[in-house]
Amino acid sequence: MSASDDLTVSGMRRRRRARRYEACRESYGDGVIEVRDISKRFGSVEAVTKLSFDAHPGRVTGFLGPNGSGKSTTMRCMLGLDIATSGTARFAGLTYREITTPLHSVGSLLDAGYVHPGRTGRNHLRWMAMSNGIDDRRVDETLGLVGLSDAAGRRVKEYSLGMRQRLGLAGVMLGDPDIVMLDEPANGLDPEGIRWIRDILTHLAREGKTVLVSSHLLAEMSLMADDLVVIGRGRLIEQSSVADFVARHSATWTRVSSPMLERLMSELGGAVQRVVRHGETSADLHGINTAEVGELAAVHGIVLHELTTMHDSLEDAFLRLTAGAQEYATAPTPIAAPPAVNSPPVVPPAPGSAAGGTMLPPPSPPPAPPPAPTSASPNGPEGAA
Amino acid sequence: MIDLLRSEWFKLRTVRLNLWLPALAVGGLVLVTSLVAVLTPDAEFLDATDLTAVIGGFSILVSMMIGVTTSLGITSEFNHDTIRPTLAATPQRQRVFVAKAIVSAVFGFLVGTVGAVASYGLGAILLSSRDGEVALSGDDGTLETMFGVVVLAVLLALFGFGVGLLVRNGPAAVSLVVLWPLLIESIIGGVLSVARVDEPQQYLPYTSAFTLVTPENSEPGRLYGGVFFGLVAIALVVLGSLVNGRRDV
Repeated sequence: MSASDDLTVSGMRRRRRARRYEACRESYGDGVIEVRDISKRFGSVEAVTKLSFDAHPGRVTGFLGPNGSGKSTTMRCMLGLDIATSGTARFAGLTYREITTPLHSVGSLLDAGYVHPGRTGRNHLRWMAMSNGIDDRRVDETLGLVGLSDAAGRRVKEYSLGMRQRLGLAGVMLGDPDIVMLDEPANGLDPEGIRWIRDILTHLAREGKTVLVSSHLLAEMSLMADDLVVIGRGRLIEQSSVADFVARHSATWTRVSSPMLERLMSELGGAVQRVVRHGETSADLHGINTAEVGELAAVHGIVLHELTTMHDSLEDAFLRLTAGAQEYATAPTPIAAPPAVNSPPVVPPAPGSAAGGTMLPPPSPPPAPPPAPTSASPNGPEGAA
Repeated sequence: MIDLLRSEWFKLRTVRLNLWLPALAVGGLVLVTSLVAVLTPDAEFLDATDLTAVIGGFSILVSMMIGVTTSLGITSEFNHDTIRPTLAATPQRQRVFVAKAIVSAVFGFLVGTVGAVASYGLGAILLSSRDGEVALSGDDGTLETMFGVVVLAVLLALFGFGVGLLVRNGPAAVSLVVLWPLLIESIIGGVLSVARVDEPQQYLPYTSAFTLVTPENSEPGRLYGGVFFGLVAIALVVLGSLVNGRRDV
C-alpha cells in the first residue's frame, strides 16, 4: 500500500501535514531577512535605535556588538517576543507573526536555557514539533543530528550547558527552515562543540539557507561569517563582508626576522614609524611595507629569515570600531609583552596603550584611535621572505 | 488549532508536578470519603445527601489544587522562560492563550470527573456493604452536587490559569488562588456585613461558587454562583491574554 492509499487517521494526518508544510515552503519564497528601522525603548533607555540591515540566503551573517549593544533585544524584536517601539523585520517578505507555522521557515535559538528543567530532551522537542505539525520521527532525526540520541530520555536539568545548546540547535533544525537565527550559539560549548556549531552553520549556508548568528567569539566569527552587521549602543555601525570589514578597519605592519636585526634597524632609520621588538632577532615595523624592507635589506646585504605583512584580526578591527560604543568597558590593563627597544622615531603610544605593550581597548576613547601595537592573534601572513 | 491543543496538552502532562498535585488531591478525596464510609457508626442512617456533602466539601480543596496546578502551569512558562520558544513556535499569542485556557479547562474537567466518580463510587460500594442507601437522585440535589464538583473543578482550573497569566509569578499566583476565598473575600464579606448589605455572598464570586458543591440549595444558588465565578474566571483569562498580547516576554 502506498502512502497516498493509507486511509487511516494517522495517514490522513500525515498527508495533511505534508501539504501544509509544502504550502508554507512555497509561500515563504527566498529567505532574505530584512530589518527596517527597528527601535526598542525600555523606559528612558533606548536599547535599539532605527536599526536596519539585511541577511541573505547562502551566507552566514555575523551579528556583532559589544555587551549591551542591543543584539539580543533586536533578535527578540524580530521574532515579536519583545514588542518593537517602531520598525519591522521581515522573513522572506513576511513579519514573524504572519507566519502560521514558523518552525518550517524560521528556526531560532535565543537562549539554550529556555527549557523546562523537568521535561526530557525528547519531550521538549516533541511539544515544539506538535505545535507546528511536524512528525515525531523528525524529532528523533534531529536528536541524532545533534548527537543527543542517548540523552534524549533524560531530564533537561541533568544536561550540561553544551548539551542544552545542542538541544536548542535540534529545535532550530526541527522544521528544516530556510532561515536560521542564533544568539550566541557557542556559549558553553567546548572547542569540539564550537567547531561543530561552525561546521553546521557553514553547511546550512552552503545549502542555501540564510544564517544570522550573533557571537562574542570573534575569532570564531572570522572563520564562519561571510557578512557582518556591527552594532554599538543599539545603532548600526557597519554592514559589509568580513573581508571588506577587516580591510577597512584593521592595521597592517611588517614582521621581520633577521640575525642582523640591529644593522637592519640602523639602515631603516626614520623610515619606520614605530618598532616593537620580539627578542634579539625579530621585530614588528609600523609605517613601512615588506617591499621597502626587502629592497633595503637586499641593497645592504642583510640576511632575512622572515618578512611578512601582518594585519589585525577581526577581533582587533571590531574592538577598534566599537571602542566608543561599549556600554560597560574595563579599565586599561596592560598585557605582558616585550617592551619596545631600539626604537627609531617612536610615535606616541595610542590612547590606552603603553609603548611596546598590547592593551585592552580604552573605555571610551575618541573615534578610531591609531592602531595599538599587537603581537597577538595576527590574521595570517600575506607574504613571507 | 488542533496541533496547538495537542502540543499544550502534551506540555501539561510531561511535567511531573502537574500529575502529582491532582493525583494527591483526588487521592485525598477518595481516602476521606472511604474513611467516612467505613468509620461512621450508623451506616444504615447515612444517605446520598450525607455522602455528597462529604465529597462536595472536600472537593473545594481538590478544585483549589487544580487551580494551583493550572496557575503553576502558566507561571512556570514565564519563570523558566519557556514562553519564548512557545511564542516563537506559535507567534499568534491569542491563539496560544486560548489553547492553554481550553487545555486547563479540560484538565479541570478530567480531574474533577475522576475525583467525583472515584470517591462516590468507592463510598457507595462501602456504604452499600453496610446497608447504607446512597443512590444519587435529582430530587434531593445530590446529582447536582456531583455535577457541581466537576463544574467547580473546571472553573477553578480557568481561574488559576487566568490569575497565573496576569501575575506571571508562581508564588504570587498560588497565594492568590488559595487565599482569595480565605482572606480577600473574608475581608470583603466582613466589610459588607458591617455595612449591613443583604446576602453579602452574592458579591463574592469565589465563595458563591462553593454553592455548586453544597447539597442543600443555599444562597445565592448554584446557577448564580457558577455563572458569577465563571464570568470572573473568563474575565481574568481575557484580561491576562490582552495584557500579555502587548507585553515583552
